[in-house]
Amino acid sequence: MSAPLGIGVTCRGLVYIYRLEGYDVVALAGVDLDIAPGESLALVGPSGSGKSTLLSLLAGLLRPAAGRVQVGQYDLAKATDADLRRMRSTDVGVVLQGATRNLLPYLTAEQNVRFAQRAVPPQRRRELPAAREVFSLVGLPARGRFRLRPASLSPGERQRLALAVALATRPGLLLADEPTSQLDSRARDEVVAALDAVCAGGTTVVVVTHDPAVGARLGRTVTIRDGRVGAEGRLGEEYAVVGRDGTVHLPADVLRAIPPGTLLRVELQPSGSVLMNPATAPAPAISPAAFVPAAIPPSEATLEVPRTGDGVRASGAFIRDSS
Amino acid sequence: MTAWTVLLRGIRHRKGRSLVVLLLATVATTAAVLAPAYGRAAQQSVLTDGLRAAPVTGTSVSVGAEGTASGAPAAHNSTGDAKATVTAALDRHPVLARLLERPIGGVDAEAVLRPASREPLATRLAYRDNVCAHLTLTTGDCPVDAGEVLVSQRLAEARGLDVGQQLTVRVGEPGANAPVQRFTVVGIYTPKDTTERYWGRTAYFTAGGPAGDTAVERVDAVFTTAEDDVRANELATVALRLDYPLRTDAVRLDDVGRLASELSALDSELGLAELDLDQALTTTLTDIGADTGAIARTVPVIAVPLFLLCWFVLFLLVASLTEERGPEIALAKLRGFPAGRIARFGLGEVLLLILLAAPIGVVAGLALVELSAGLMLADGTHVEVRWQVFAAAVVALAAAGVAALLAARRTLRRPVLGLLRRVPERVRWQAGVAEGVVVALAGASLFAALSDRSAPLGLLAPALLAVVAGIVAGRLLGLWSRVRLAVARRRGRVPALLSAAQLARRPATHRVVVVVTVAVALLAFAATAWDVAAQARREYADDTVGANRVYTVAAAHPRALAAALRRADQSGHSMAVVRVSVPYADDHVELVGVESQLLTKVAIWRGESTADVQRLAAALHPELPASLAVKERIEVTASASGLGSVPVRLGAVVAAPGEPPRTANLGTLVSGTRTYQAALPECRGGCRLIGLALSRGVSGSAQYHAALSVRAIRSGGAELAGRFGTPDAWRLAPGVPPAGITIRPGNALALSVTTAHAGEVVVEYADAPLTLPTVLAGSAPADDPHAADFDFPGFTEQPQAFTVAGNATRLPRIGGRGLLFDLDYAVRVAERTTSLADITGLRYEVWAGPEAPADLGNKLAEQGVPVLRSESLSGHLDQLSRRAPALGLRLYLLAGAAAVALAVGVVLLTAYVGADGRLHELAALRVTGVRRRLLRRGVMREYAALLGMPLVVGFVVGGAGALLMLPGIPLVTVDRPAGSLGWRPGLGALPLAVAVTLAGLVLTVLAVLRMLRKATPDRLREGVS
Repeated sequence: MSAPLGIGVTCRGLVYIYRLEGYDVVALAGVDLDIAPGESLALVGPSGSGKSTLLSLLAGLLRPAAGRVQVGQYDLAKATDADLRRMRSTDVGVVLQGATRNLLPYLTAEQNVRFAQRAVPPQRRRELPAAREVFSLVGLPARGRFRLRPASLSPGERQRLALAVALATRPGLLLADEPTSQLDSRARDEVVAALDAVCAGGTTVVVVTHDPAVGARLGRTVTIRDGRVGAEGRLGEEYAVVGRDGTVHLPADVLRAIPPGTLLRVELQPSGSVLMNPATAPAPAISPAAFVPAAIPPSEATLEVPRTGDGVRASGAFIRDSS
Repeated sequence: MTAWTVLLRGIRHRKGRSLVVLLLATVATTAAVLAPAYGRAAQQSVLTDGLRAAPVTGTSVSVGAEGTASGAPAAHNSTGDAKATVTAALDRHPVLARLLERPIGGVDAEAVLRPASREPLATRLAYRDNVCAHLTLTTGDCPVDAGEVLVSQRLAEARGLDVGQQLTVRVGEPGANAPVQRFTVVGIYTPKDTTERYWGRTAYFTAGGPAGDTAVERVDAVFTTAEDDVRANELATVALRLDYPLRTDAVRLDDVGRLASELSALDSELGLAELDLDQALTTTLTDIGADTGAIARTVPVIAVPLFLLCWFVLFLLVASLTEERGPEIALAKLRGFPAGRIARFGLGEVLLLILLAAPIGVVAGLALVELSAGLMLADGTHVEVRWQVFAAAVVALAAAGVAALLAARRTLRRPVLGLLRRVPERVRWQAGVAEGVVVALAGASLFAALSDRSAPLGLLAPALLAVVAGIVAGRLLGLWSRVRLAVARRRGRVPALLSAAQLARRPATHRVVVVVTVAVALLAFAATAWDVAAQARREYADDTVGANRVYTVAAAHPRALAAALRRADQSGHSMAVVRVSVPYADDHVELVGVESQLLTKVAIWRGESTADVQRLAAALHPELPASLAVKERIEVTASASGLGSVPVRLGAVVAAPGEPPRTANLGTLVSGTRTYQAALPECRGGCRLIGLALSRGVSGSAQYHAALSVRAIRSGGAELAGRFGTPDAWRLAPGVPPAGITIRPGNALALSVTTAHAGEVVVEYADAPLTLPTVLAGSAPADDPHAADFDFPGFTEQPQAFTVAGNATRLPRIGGRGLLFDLDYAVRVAERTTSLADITGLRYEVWAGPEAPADLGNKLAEQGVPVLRSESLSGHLDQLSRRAPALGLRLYLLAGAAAVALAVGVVLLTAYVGADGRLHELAALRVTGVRRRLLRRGVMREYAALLGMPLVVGFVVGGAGALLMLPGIPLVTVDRPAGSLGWRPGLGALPLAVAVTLAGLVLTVLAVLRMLRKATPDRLREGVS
């Protein structure tokens, strides 16, 4: 099997709103995210933070309300339904949460893989890997498992079969939603190993997970919080991410110190660090029009936040007086 | 792996559901096929039945010519030549050529027969092909040569003929001067079966009575086997006739139109050859056409609701199945399948099953019709495989495909995440519009039904009203469930809560209620209609036949019939009946003479209780003395006095059975007591003494006088009980002027006559009523329709005095317009003036009760009363059950049963399609601690409401539909709507329908409960299904 070319992902100001009966819910409120081709990335964050929504947007299952999202050659905000289907049939493999949801229960393991491959246009099918190769990639023992139906496989095997089905068309991007949930640690390790192998094969891997261990095994973690990218982890180190609009999600311990509503004076220090100084005086009446988002250089600036007294209101984001 | 592998494995994976889809699609195709196939078979059955029941004249074609050799040369040609001419003409008319049997050729002519030393007799000298095969030769052989003839046994016995005797025959009308031909009697025959089709329209066995206007007595035909014998006299009017019996069982519906047109063309062609075509076949076919037309109109009206119900059920089924397959379809979308292949993947299984169901449905429909034909339709009726059947199947297939596409459209268009989340979509406005359309249609059909119940839209009213009732019931159940849910929530009752919640939130509830309501209503309507129609048929048959069996017979006169019947049946469970139809005021009044003392035992008189019939019978037959019977010789002992110069002759007026009354001259009166006597040779078998007659002994108009004391009347060696001392036992006969005539009772009957009356002064014995008591049905045939006494032509065609002894809504076998009276009294009255044997309009019947001998027909024939036609109550009922209305209602019943089967299928399917989710819910509830018993109760409550309400509403709506429609629908014959409902509840189709429906639904609920037993906590683990 020739290695797939990894597909990069770029999200700019990605917004998604669930329109429910009588009210709307903003699931993603301006996500900026870049994923390099061949990179493996875990989307983490609390339940309801928007991870799965982001994954669905990347898979073309949802249309962004605003912003831009580029998956390989596809601008998903502008792509037609046919484009999105074509994208999923060739470039993007999706693993839904819950292994059985990814499989047709009446087909054997091999037939499930072949079923996924039938979505590829006929002229490109010859380039597709054999089912055996896909099973090998995800670490499924081929002998004796090919002809079993999903119900006859162990939960771990079933999950890897779900991965195999998503990889059946040799996609450049694999999107997996909670691939290790409801698995024991051994099965989880097998699945993570399979993801490693997929990534090693050149496929970009994006995994939604609640499991920090899984996140740690992947090269990069992106924490989604309140519909935005809250932080990023690189090799075990946690970083706040400055958004393209200058917003920064403060870590939880910092938020405890300067709760939402605190006014901060943000000062760039000669050393290159940034000092955020909570204001002591009551906040003047602020007109929203009086402020514009500050442009923060994406340098390796640091934030220093001195402690202040109680009762000070401040914005959670950097602001600058436009006057 | 191909798409077929996925498709077939999917079908196998959902084998239960797939089977239901296959069955429903099969039922839909079967329903579609039923309309043309059953309609055709039913029409064919009606055609075959109608042709079989029609008289020979209505099912044969006769070609012939009649006249002298110069006037009608064709009549004097050989039958072979005539056959050749007709065969050549028929070659141009293939349908006629195929449907007409080989012709039976015949030539006959009026002839005067003169046995040696006897008076002349009128007969027909007849040649008929192969006649000996249709006669029983009691003596002698079949003629082989010219100059040899066969005579009937009746003639031989009456005239003392025997084999070897010579007959002198003059071929021609009595009185015509025809050359004499001599024939030798070589055999004596009796006809095997006078009603046999072989005899066609001939009237060869009509012995008795005068021939035409002459006094020559008519006897049975004399047969020769040489047709030239008949044509020997060129001046005689000879009738040549070729009878072509129709192969009634071979007539197909397609032949009907061609038959009429070919007969018309043949008539013209034969006219050129001076041959006449005589046929009543077109009239018969037109009459039958009314029934076949009714079937053609009714069957689609019945089949369409069933087909639409199937279609709707299939729509629901596919919608449910596609929705259930939502996650699989989502998977296909997730993998990036193009739209077309997604549709193929989502619908392929259903479409393949629908496709498979088409041939199965066609075969099932044809088999069902064939089975129905074997069980219910006329013998020899079979299903016809015609293009219309396949066209209907193709339409059903297309409709099923459209139903599948429409049903799946919503699911197929949903996004991946929508399909995965399986959030039920809100009911859209289209459903409301569809319901509105149905309600509007129902309103229109109701209006049409109230205006004209036979209109096609009106006939759809019950089905459309059922749909509306279903929609309303569904909505009401939804409301009721929400209310119950709130109450149960407050009170914390788990079973009520679960059942109400399930009913309130399931979108399928509404559909199930609609389908079950419609199905039950259709069945209830069909069952009620069937029961009402069955009762109407029984009543119609009772009214039409009038007794358990009725034989229409040929009899010489009423007394001959009564005598023969007494010899044939001594059980007293059959009676002789004589009828005549008298035109009156643009209508006919039927006069019926019955043996009133047997009326209760024999007649079926609907609407009259046994006591009523007894009372009426008694009123018809008031006590009167028995007639005075005389034989061979009569002696009257009388004293005469007061005689004038004009001699006075004494006579005895006697009537031999079937003969006109005759006055036997007893002699001229002489003063003093003496015995007057006369020979009565015609009374060897017994005569009735009508009375005594006094008349002028010489011609002239002078007044004559006589005082006569009749002391005794003797005959056959015994004195007749003349009851001379009883007042009114003797009376002056009607028509005799009473002036100068006195009748006094006493030890001797004292008659005093002083009159110039030109005719006889008849003093009759009062053994017959002066006015005939009658039971009147309808208005009196008089100026005053309420008259209690009126004159009306009786059996003698002369005015007869009637007195109304009772009124009835209808008379047995006669209907609502007629007079019923005692046969014996009517004959006694008639015999005073006329011979009833001379009255050609009389029709003779024998009515038999169930206890009468089963072979009464044969026994009557043995007694010289041939049976022309026999009817029975069961046979008539059988025939009625194969008329158009019954055949239509049978299909309705079948459709109702199929609808309920569909409804049961829908209930089961609704339970099974959502089974996984439901089992998960119940399993989860069990994990939370809800006891299994409570869950079971909840499910039972849910189904009790889900099925109970439609069951009740369905039966009520079906019954109401029946009440609305049945009075306007022909239930027995196409030309007569029921008018009013006279249904008496009993063991019939309706109770059976209720029982079967209940049993079916209970079994369904048990099956659902059994399925839900799988709701164990294990089910909550992933991968368990």
